[in-house]
Amino acid sequence: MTTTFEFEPIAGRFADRHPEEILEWALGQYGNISVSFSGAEDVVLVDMACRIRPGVPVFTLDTGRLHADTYRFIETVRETYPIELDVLHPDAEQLNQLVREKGLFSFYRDGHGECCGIRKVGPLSRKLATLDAWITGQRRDQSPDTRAEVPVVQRDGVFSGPDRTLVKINPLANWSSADVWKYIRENDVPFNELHRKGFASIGCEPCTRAVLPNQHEREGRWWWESSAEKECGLHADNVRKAG
Amino acid sequence: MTTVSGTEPTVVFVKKIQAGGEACAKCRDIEQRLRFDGLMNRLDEILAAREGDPDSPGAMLAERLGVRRAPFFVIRDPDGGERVIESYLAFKRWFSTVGSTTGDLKDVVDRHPDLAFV
Repeated sequence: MTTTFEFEPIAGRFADRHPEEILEWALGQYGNISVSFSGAEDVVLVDMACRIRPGVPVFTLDTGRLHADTYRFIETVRETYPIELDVLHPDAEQLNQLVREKGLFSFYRDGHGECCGIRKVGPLSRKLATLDAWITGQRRDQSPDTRAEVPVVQRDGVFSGPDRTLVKINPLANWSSADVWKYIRENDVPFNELHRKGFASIGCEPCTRAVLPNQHEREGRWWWESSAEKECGLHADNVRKAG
Repeated sequence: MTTVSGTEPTVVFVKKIQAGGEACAKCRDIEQRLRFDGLMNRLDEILAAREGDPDSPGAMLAERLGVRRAPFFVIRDPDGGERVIESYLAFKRWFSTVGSTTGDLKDVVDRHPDLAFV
């Protein structure tokens, strides 16, 4: 069994490397690996990965509530790149039960956790159970509090089990939003039209809105929940530091 | 202690601070593991048990719970129940449980808010 600490030297070795170098290592190291694509600017990972390994597996979560622009963009990516795209869907029975009991907009009353659990985490969990490693577009600058410690390679702390290690690779961990957009412009990478409309962070249609200049991208998500609720008690501000 | 929803367990991490002001080697090692596994920001509270200071918050908690060695974790349930975990692996097992019921899935989102951005 692979242990957590076997990844520390690797994470250290790749800490300052270009995302393409990290991807090249990851795709060479793991055969049973897939790129997670959210339908947003993490398209840069798809662009890089399919140059390294044409036909690379990519998966995306179709929550059933995405913007029309996002569905069109996913299709553009599927047609543009030599990838094997797997579009994942929520469990129909769980979704039916939620909608039957609470309607289509329960997240405005109860918070987004239950809906995201069914529409995102469920299918993600089932997909990840089939993989040895996955590649994400997580960046440290996306949430200075909850993602401040994102390493480029790690044992997945959520979906690994006592007898199974799932490796999580975050090639964009060190990149800023500006780095990503520089890459998109310089390499003529297609992007979601919602970005032209002021959307910085793109999720489901009812839960995402455009942000103003200099607003953090996270302010465009679940804005009706207080910032404390959004972080579910795990916000760094809630941590009373030893002192 | 800071709680937000009032319906989820909260996690306290207690570490020993030596007379020189530095955390003990074991505590530094566990903090490094927590950072590497992405669990550092899952802690709701970090308390210091200061060497030679029985009134420090971590030392008082250890005394109350009968814990003799730091570091250790305390899981506090919303109903007031407390559970001490002294092994890092046991703590990780507690955190990494992923269920398949809707309640479990919501719990995963609540504990790992970044997953909602996938």
